Amino acid sequence: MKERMLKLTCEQANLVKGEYPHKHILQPIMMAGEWYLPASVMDNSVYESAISILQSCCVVEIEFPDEMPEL
Amino acid sequence: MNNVFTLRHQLDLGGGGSLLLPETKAYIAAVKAEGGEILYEKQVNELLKTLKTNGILQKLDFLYLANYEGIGSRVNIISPSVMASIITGISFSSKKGWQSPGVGQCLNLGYKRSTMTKLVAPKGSIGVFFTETQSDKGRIFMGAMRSASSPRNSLLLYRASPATRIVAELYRDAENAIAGMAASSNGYFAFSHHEPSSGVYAHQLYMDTVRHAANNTSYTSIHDVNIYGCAANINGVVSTPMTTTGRIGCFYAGDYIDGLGADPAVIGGEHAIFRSALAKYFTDIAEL
Repeated sequence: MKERMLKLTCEQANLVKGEYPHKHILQPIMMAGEWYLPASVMDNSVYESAISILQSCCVVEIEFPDEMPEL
Repeated sequence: MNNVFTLRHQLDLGGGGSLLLPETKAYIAAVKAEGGEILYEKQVNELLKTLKTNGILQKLDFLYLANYEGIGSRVNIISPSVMASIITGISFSSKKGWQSPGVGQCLNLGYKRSTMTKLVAPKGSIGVFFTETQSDKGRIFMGAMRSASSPRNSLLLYRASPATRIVAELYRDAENAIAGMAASSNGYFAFSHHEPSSGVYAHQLYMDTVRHAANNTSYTSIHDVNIYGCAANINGVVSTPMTTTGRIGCFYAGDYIDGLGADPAVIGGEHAIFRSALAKYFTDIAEL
């Protein structure tokens, strides 16, 4: 399963993290020491106030394993 | 004659405010206050009436129900002042419900076990209703996380082609309650657990019309954790890759819901009523 993700610096993650209109929350995820958000967040106007930061991030494709991580 | 016509019109459409349950009215008012809309008032009211008549509605801590649009469907019908928040862009499809279209996206249902008054150890129920079939690799998560390293106490549907696996836990600690079982691709998916003083455990998974008894030897108490829908979220951080390709039309949690029927392999009791009422609701709104 390939996902298009935004790769954020720690500073960018801290800047965009938080609450947005209509009880929306941006919450970057940490994977292997790096911060990411789904690239699809750029298509949502709710996050418009963060769009300049989001657009400055690198878009990467990440392969996620099909198997569920062990709970 | 006009008055009679108006009354009949209201009865048919459910538009007469006095015909709605107080619970339905409170829900609609809260939705409108948030800028949302409930288009299918009659159908919502019929569902709540069925659940209330059968004593199920009173058992719930939360009930989120897909309706016409996303704002209204994020309002908790049981406590309408509570509205689920969207974490990182989860999507809503008219009438069909919620989908986590990408990694790290989920719906925060806004409850901690410690705030629940109905789901109290040592018994409780959590459940979802799928309105859209999952793809082979779709993943659904609904539940509560105990810790970052061991997110137990969950209701999880996991499908990975060619293997299909279910893990469902309510407040179990040591091991998976059910594993290696064929997953239902849509419909009713719920879990109930009860430890009565007699020591006879009832610990069961419900998948559409089928009831599955689970191993029930090592339960622990309910932990103080938040409950999320559609994707994994551990201690407030969405950290597990999750993509859900299907839709969830309903989330609920609350007190133990009875599922005993004449046939031990067939869903019965309150779960049968709940499942039928939800199936009717989604059938009805799809026909409009």
